Amino acid sequence: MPERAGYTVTMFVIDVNSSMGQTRAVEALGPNGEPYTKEITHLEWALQFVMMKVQEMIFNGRKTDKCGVILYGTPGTKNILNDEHANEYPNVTEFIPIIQPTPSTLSKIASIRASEDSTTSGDSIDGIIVAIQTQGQFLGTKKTWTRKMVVVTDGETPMELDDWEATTQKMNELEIGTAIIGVDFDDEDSGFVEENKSRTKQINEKFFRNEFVPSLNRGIIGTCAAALQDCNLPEPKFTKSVLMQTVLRIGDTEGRPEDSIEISVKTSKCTALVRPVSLKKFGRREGIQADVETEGGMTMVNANAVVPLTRRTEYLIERGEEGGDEDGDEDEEKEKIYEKVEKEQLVKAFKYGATWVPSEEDAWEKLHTVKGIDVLQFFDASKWHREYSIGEVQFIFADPNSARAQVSLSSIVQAMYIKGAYAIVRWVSGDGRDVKMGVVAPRTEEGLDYLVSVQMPFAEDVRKYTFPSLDNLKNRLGETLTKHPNIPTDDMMSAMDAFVDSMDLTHAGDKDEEGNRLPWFTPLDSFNPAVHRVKQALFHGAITSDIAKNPLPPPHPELTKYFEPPSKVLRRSKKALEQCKQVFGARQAPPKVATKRKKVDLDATEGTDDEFSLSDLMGAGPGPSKVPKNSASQSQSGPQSQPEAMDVDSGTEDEDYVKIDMTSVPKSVKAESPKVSKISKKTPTPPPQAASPMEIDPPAQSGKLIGNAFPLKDFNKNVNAANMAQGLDELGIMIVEIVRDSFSTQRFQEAIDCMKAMRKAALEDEDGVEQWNEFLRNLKTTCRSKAFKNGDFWDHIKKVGRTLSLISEKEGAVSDISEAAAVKFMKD
Amino acid sequence: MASYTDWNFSAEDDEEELEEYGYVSAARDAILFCINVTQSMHDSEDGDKSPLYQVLQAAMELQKRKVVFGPGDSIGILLFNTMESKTAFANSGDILEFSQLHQAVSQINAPTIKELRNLLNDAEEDPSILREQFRALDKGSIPLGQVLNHCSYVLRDGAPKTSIKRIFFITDDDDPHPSHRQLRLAAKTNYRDLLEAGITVVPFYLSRPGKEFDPSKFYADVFSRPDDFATEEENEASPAITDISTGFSQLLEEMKIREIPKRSLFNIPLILGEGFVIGVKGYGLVTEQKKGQYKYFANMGRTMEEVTSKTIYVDEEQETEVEKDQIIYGLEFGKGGAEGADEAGDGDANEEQDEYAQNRIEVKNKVFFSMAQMRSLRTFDIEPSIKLLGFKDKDELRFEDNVKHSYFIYPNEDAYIGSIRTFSALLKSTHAKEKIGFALAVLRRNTTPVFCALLPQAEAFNDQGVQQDPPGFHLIPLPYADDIRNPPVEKSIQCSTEEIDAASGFIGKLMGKKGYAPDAFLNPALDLHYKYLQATAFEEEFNPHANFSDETIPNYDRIHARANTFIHEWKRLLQQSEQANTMVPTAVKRKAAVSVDEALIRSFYEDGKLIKFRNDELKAFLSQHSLPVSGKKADLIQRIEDYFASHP
Repeated sequence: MPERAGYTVTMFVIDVNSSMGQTRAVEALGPNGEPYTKEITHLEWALQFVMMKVQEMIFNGRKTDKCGVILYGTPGTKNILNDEHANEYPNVTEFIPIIQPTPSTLSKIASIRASEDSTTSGDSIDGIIVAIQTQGQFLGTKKTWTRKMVVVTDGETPMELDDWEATTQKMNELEIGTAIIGVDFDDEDSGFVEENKSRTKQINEKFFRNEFVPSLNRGIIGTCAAALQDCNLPEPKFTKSVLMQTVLRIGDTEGRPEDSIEISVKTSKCTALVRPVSLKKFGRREGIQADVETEGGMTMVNANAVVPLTRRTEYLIERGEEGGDEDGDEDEEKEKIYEKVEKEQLVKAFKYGATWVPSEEDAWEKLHTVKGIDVLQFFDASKWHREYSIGEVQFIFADPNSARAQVSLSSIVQAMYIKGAYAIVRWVSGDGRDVKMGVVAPRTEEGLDYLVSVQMPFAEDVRKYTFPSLDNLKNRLGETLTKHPNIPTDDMMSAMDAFVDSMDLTHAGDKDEEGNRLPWFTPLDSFNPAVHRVKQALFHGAITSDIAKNPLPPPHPELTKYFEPPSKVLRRSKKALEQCKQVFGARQAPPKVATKRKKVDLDATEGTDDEFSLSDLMGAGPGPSKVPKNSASQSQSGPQSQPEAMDVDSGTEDEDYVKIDMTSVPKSVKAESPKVSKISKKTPTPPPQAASPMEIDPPAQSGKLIGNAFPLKDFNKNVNAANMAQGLDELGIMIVEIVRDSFSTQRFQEAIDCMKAMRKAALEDEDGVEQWNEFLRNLKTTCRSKAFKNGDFWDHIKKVGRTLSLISEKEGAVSDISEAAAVKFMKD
Repeated sequence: MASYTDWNFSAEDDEEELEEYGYVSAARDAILFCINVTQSMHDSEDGDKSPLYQVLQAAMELQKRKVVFGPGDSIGILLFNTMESKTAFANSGDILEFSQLHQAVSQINAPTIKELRNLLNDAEEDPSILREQFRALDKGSIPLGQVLNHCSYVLRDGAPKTSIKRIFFITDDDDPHPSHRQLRLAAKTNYRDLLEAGITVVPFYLSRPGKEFDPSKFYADVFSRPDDFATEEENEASPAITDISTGFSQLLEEMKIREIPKRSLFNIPLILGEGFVIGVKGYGLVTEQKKGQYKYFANMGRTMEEVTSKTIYVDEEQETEVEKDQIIYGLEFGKGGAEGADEAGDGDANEEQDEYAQNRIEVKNKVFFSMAQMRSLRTFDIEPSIKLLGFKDKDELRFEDNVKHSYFIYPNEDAYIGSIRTFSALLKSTHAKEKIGFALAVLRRNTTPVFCALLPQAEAFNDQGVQQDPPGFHLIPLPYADDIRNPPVEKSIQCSTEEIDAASGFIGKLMGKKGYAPDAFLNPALDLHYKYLQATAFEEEFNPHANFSDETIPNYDRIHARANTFIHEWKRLLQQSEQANTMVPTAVKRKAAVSVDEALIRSFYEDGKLIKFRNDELKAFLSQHSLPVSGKKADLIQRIEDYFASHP
């Protein structure tokens, strides 16, 4: 795509002769994705293509990307040539003058209908000539603009084929890129041949294909079907990188210019992240019904009822609090009083630990830097760490206006290339700007030598974490282990080697011209699925009045073609994959519950009776274990199985790293003293005493009343008036856990059942009332907090309603909650 | 410990990709330095600083670095086996005999750091100060169990509840309780209690010639982690043993590595094939570090008031604020503008075309989606995971295919049993075959699937046996076609072989042994910022010219010493090169290309007769040398003279 983006006028020349009004059957998808056939006219079908093109222009939003629409075959006549000479170019209408298209342009195009008057007709060539003139008049002296023309016709209207060479000559002169889009023209590629083609169409089609288009320097002909398919193809938006002027330096060019090298270069982006169109924020205008719910697909919003919002930042100083609000007791936040201040009055302060340091940034001298790219040193390319690249890639070209710069850079690039060298550079994009470090690599192509550069991290940007060795395992005695469940065996290694070989993509792609298989996937062929899908939805949403009847079609296959490995590779790797599943026996871990084994003192020879044998834990024989793909199912499916490879003889039992399967907790588990409360680092546990899953003990042994297996049962069985306070506390904690661990709404009912029981019990206990109310407030806060995954549980509680709300004074005398407050609590 | 259901992040706003977790993360870190003061800790060798001095210095340096990496973190310093007992608690009876709490656990702050620094400054002048202030017990050691217990108390007292609590335990005594089984057991039990309370111990053992530190005597046993605790981040590689005789740089290195608690960014399944799934955790090992948090304060005359900033959304026409929950999200179609042009079009040809207008459909300029719909459009409803698509040759991963930083993945046995052995086999196999994995990844909820290369990295150690490269895969997000741009320059003059040889000469001289090593380069702007910040916080003067050096500036002396002769030769060749002295016709629009001969201009310059050239010729020369072409003729000549003066 060498031409610059924009600066283009595209003329759409559309055949609206009465033949275009004939109907055809097209495949479409219903609201639930069911295919059905609908009748539309040839014109409507062809207009889909025109509209796609225009939508693209609207979407890109370039002021210099304009279009106009000329119709021929209209009953009336209105065009610039006819204005001058009344009888010429009849039945050609300038329907849309050349403009930058907007949504309303699109609706105008959509409204075009074929002529119903079969006695008048318009000629394709007439339409084309009018389009050339209209375009020419508009562009006038703008010589650098690109001219394009798209002619859409069914070729059913006789044409006057006298003087067409003059027309194509003119088109070549003006370098008009022309596409003839034929409705039901024969298509060699797809082998489509229209049956019972009319004589006229045969002549016209032949003319376009064999005479008109070949005489154009920049002309193509295609069928409407192919064109529609093509324009659904995702296409990256073409952005031309801006060239930035800078210098490449080796040595101290300021102090020792005669010993230093300075090359005038231009830089530009080689990669630049593109994001999908972002959502804008809108506000509803009062008094206008803004939302219209439809069954399927999207919510329709009345676009006239909303206004775009502007973002503003306010700066506030706290000025004390207003008194607590009686009703608002569930959220403790009191109304704070703020005073607004202007940004000009503000001083920036940076944090030095807990100390805020007002910055005298102006007084702080800035780092003095000079624009340019300094080479620090060269190094062997093999020593480069690819994973250090932290940003987009830049090109560095020699200044296109300076031969000296080009020869200079060329010599360095080629020398680097030959020596296999990269260079470390210090990059300053403008005087006084911050320094960035980079590594540059040489690129030499036919007729062009340049560098590519990528940003490297500073010392501050690198985190040095250490990770436990994967295979260098030591037992407590410091001896290196060669056999361990975590160390792959020879069998595993050969299974993995076979898997890696079988999943190789190097020759899994399409064939090149010489018939050699290319690698499967290249970035140049992969489209950002979000960018194009959102665009598709936007286009569809913009022109579709009833989204329920006409839902968004599925994404273009081109977007998802790399989402699965190529089927050939999948087939090839099947055996190796099965073998891997067998020998590795990877399976989802059971929900982790910690044991508090008393195995603290290892050298103290404690009764081996209490020791459990590892082979007991490892379960029965080998067999592939099922791992639900992407599922968050908590249930253990089937018996735990363990492959042979993991059988460890009992002599290794005091080694580290052995995972204990909780299905067989050793009998002798003894509880730690209950006062040690463990603080879990990761679990979101808003209630202060909430336990992490690691703390759950078999009830009888821990002093706990309620376990996590059957909390409600435990509650009913173990809790009585004497230990009610503890029981309510524990049940409350358990409820939060159930909700938290619930996959979607799967365990919500269980939690609600627990809550019902808890509330009932609380009502009968004097202190229980307050406990319940406290619990419920916490639960609400928890559900509302962003970190809590299953916050929608609260909606389920709300559905239950008042009977699960706070206990009011009406129900329990000791409550300080009014009935109204209890009702309100459930409503908001 | 995570059950599958609480994997992944709950991303609220899916507008942009989530912000990367910087060093300044939500979870805070609290470190208590627990230093065993033995007699030998005071003994300095050959005029070096005593080990205690250096340990305290390390503690100070760590706090200073924390200002950058974790200003919300807390640090404390406890010394034990001291003659005098002291506590920094104001009114607490809880004091451990023979210990000094020199610095209670509190958030990093300027006064505390300054105080420690002053102590070290004093000690530098008079080394006996530390020996006096922290007099070591004559012999023996107080029970380690008690020390650990006290540490736990000190930490819980000072550190925020939610923080990650760690004890940096520093000792040079490898056997504090020789053959005292009771004390050993007690220490073990108390260590266990620390773990229960979520506190980890990171030991630093100091060794010296003639007194090698042998962890197996006592500590390896006491600080051994029971199986069921060996799962979280902190199951580090073996503890650091530092030989003090070789200096403390190693200790500092070790501390640097451990000072930031390891935090994972994501915890997702790695799908190797249908039914072949393991768990992995992802870490960010490289992320651009920016200047720290700042806040606005309002100068209210006598006081500085903290300012809260609040973002609001306003309906500009009506000047009303719109509440967050009232905001609806939509896409705009057609970027405003051109309304006028459209109106004109409306009025024009169209009126007469009524018969076409009757069927007009409404094309909307705004389209609204619910968040869920938008999410589905962006994510294709793929759950967070890394899905392997196959393997490719390592060299297929090109330099150019980069848009953002990489991640590092490491197996998570807690999510899938067998993850470690499977991952380990995959790593070994790909590494040996020089292959990379190729995968489709959705790292977090509400993000777009992205294609990634999985670059294997084998474990590697440095000379001291410290882990240099951890074992795992680097996950490198690849650009989409949409992100890739064509070179905007299509042609340039290429040089001759002589010039390549000449360039090879100086490149050869400037070849470094190592590749790019981030450690060698502190970010000068950030460094300067923090130096100013510290000076201001300490109320000191700071002179950037005296106390600051930019390590990223090339080593000119070295470059010139090594490469000058080659550079001269290269320049001489270039001077003679015909190609280099041809003029590129400047692409001036609708004007005949003006070309000037460089040698000619130079000779006129040497004769002082530049005035003879026409303005457009002067300008052509200037633009060929990328110099500005603005100004009067005198300016142009001046500029060219300057150029020749600096380019002899």
